[in-house]
Amino acid sequence: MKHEIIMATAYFTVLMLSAASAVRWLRMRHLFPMFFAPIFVCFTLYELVICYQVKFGTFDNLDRYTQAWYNLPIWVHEAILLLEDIFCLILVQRERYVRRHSINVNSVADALNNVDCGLMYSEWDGTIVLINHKMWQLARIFSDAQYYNALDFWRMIISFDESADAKRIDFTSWPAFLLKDNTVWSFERSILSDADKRYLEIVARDVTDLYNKRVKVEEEIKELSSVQGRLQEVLKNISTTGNDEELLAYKVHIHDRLGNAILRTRQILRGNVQNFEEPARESILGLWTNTIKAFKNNRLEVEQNKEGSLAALYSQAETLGIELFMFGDFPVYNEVAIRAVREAMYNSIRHAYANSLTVESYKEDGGYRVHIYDDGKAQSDAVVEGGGLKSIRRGVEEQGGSMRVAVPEGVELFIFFKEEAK
Amino acid sequence: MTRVLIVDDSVTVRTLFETIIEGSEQYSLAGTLENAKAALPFCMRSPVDLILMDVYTKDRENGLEAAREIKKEFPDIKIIISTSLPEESFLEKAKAAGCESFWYKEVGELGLLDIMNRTMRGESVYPDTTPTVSVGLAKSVEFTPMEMKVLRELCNGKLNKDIAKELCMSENTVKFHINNMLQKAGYSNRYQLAIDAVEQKLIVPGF
Repeated sequence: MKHEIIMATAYFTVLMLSAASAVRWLRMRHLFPMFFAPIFVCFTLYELVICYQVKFGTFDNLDRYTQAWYNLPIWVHEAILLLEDIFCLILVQRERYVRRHSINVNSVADALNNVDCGLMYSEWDGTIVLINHKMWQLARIFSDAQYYNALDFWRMIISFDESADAKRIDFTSWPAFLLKDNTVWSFERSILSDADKRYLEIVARDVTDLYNKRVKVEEEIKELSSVQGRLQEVLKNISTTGNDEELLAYKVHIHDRLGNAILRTRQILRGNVQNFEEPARESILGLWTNTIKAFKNNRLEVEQNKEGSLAALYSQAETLGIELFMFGDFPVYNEVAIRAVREAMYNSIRHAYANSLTVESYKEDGGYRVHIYDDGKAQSDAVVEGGGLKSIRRGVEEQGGSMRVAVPEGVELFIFFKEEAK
Repeated sequence: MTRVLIVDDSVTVRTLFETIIEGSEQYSLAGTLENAKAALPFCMRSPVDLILMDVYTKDRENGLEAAREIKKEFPDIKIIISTSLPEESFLEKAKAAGCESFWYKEVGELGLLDIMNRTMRGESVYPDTTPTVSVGLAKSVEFTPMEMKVLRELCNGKLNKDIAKELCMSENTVKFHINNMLQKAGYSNRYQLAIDAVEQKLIVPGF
């Protein structure tokens, strides 16, 4: 039994010695492989030989010193063998520590494998010279094929669309992919130049955080866009809504007056009103006149909104005390053209003290050429493109047309409208 | 007879004002316009004593701006600003433009005639407060003057840094005022606040 325990311990020690030696022999400058290893190996083999002699009954043939050694207590044998094991274990651990904390032939590879991104370097013809573990793992996700050429690998990346393990979700200028583990990787390619040589570098970066933040920002932008759209709509309609409320209030008022007029008339017709003399008759007549006028103007407002219109321009010219002459084909449905005439009318009165405004227009090249001039005497420095003319110019140019202001004597506008906007 | 010019983009409103003026013995109608910009050229051609000027007229022309120009050229013409918009800056702007009176449009003849009479007697008639409107959970009067200034710039689409530059304050102060308004109104973001303020016509962007 004793020899079996010693044999088992000795075999284990051989194993430890082999492991420690294998590690040590990579670094020959250390003392262990050259000196201690042969001694430990010899002693362990010596123990094994004795145990085999005991096992096969030839122990009595051994010399007396060997027999005396074997007859020592078992803990002596075990202690020496276990000391060897502990020594080997310490050496292996120390070697691992040294390798981790010192530069050696594997340091570059270790460092590249430890970085969080995938790296691949190749010659200019695509021959891979260096690839780290992460890039190798990523390459296996995209394809089962073994890549020996960086150019082939890059072609695969840029043409990759979707598989069970990855899905293309480009959100930067470089290809990016959402993997099955919900991480997002972006691939970039660049050229590295040495003195007379060029290399290709492909870097895969984990952009999961960036992507998640971008998704969040996009959601927020979408929400804000919808709110912004509503704001724009409100701004656009503020005039309409304000007017609608005013109109409603005044229409209620007009209808009240109509009701009042009907009620009083009915009372008169039924003979309920005594002494229906002249003042009372005038009063109810005035009530009806005003009510009918209000209705009539209400209808006019609807018609004017529908038409545009030139009639309004003539009417305004008459109100302002300036004669308006219009010749040729005027783009009547073009709101900017109407505004241009109106603006010219105001400027002619304010700056040129004009009495008449002439508008000549004709069709040309699919558009309208409009010439507006007055009979006034403008001061050249009096006509500068302020808010009104600037607004007209913007409107004209937005339609693809052009505008020129001249001040020979009065104010002149030359406008070309590319097409008639209805 | 006092010659009155009516400037309002609504035919119905103009008609009602015309009816009021024609029905009175003291006033006569000088003319009616739908665009505030036409008011100055009109005054250059026709004698006018009093103008009833709307703020928001046809083609987004600003009645307050037109009033300022008219006052510059014709300081004797009296101007009554009439509006239904509760935007509180209109009162200050009307005063700055030199307008004699300010009237929130009402349905009723006596209100307007009363204002016109008092204005022509030399009085300056301005309402003490603007109509109160609700912005979210808050009443418009709950906003401080500085908050209103920030809100006005916000409704004009400006960013914090632009608002800070415009109002000569730090961006943090702008954020502080906006957060205060959000808390009062019960909104979670500035866009909701701005939209409601514009919808309620508490602020009229561009005016």
